[in-house]
Amino acid sequence: MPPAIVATDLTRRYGPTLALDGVSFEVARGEVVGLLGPNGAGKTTCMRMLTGFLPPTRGRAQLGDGEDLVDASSGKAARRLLGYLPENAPLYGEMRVQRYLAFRARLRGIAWRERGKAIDRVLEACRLGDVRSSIIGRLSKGYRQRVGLADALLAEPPVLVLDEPGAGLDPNQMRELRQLIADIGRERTVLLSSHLLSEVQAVCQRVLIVMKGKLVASGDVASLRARGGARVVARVEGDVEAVRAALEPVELGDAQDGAEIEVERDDEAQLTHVSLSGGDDEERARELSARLSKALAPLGLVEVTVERAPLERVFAELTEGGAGGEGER
Amino acid sequence: MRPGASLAIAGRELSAYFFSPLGWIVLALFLLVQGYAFYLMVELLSQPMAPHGAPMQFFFGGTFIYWLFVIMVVSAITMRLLAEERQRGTLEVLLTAPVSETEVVIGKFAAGWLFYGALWLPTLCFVAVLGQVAGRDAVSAGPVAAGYIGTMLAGGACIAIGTLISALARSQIGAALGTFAVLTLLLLLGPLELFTAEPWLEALVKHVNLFDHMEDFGRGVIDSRHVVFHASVITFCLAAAVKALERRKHV
Repeated sequence: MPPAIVATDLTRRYGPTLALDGVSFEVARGEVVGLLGPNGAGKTTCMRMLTGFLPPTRGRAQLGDGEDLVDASSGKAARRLLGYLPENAPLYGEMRVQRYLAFRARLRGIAWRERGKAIDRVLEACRLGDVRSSIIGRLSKGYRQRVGLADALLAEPPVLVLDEPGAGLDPNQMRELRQLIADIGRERTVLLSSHLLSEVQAVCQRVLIVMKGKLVASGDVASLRARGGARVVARVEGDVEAVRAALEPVELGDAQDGAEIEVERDDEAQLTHVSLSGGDDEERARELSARLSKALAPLGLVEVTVERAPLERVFAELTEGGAGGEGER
Repeated sequence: MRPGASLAIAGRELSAYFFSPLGWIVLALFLLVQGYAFYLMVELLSQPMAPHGAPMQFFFGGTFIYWLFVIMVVSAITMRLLAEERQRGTLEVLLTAPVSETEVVIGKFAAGWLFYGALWLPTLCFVAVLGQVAGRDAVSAGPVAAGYIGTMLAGGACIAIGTLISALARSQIGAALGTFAVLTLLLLLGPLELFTAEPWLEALVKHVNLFDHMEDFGRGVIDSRHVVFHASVITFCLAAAVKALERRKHV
């Protein structure tokens, strides 16, 4: 598959501040990729360069639909490939939804005969039918976000870039938006940004994590999760002292392996919780759980489970723990 | 260059003028001030000691106040063109659509110019009133037509300057103040002509003073030099506005 989006050493400076520092990645055609990072990490800057709105200080942003790639800054040729929803979906508040979409359809060069059809199609796809004659400024945030998305979909572009499409939405609107993006992603290449993991996790096949202007990790959701390792959790009837004593002779890896054992009494449930981290991979985690169950069996073992690290923790570690050094570029 | 895109932008912009209270306020104030100025002028000219001349000649560019007001109106019209889009964030949506910066600037300028023309449209009533009251001889079609052409040309040049400043400004208020200052300076260059001893400076001032050019139009003379001058101011300012947009200095 030829790529639809290529970023090569993408760098942007605003005066003395380096907003984005040598970021390179590719998005294949038909992929749905999430650009993830805390606020101020450089996501918007990155997207503005990919959409040709902002010229890069160094490096290249290219878009493609077929074998050839065009520079994002090459003007109309690139803009025709693109549907873009900027952060906060800026719109002309005084216009009505349908009039706005008609205006955008003219800008996008859709022939007047097809405009009506194109507008009806996006109104339906974005579930905007009942607000088509409402004034945009009076719509709720969720609706406005959808109007912006409808505009991005008007000319059926092969590439969609959505900057924080889920910002400020309530859980219901969020679920609808996810469904919408999943539908769009079946036919098109989508790059969306977010500072919320759950949003990205639900719709993206692959995640790029940016932090302080650098790309610190990339990969599919499962492999990123594996980076966080697994944790073995056991619940035992015996008390804390007994558990500690039972675990004393068991080889559970030492501190150098990053093994960390936590033993805690849950008085309410009359159980002791044992949590063991440091299982770098699934196999090691299963081995640890086997040892744990053998050692704890005499103390009334209730259950032993292997829990994979939630993506939240991986994200937190990557973005807070100064993980830049081990990051892939 | 796709004229359809510029037309779409100009159409949206024009309808936005009429959807916003600002558009109607400008229109109403403009008519109020022009109507009063017209009344004063007719009263003054009907005094026995009044200077001799066709009234409409004085109406077009005869007074300093007239220009000051036009400058204010132009500042109000142009401040929103690009600065408002930048302030609202819609510039990003506009410039990532398949339209070129040139199409955007031309569409915006055209909307501003047309709105300026729409402001003047009702003043045609003054001509009709004058014709009715003072008789056909008092109003000759030639100078009146030339006066309107001159007003549109000078207005076009002012709107183009305002469009450029709107493309450079971060905020609407900044654009309005900047346009007002630059156009007022141009207006104030006029008197400098009288005081300077340097012939080159006098020639330069005479040439760049937008409003000096109005005199001939008011007399009914359409001199190609004036037309070329205004057309080149418009072309230069719009080209500079396109460059300013392309640079994306503040986004």
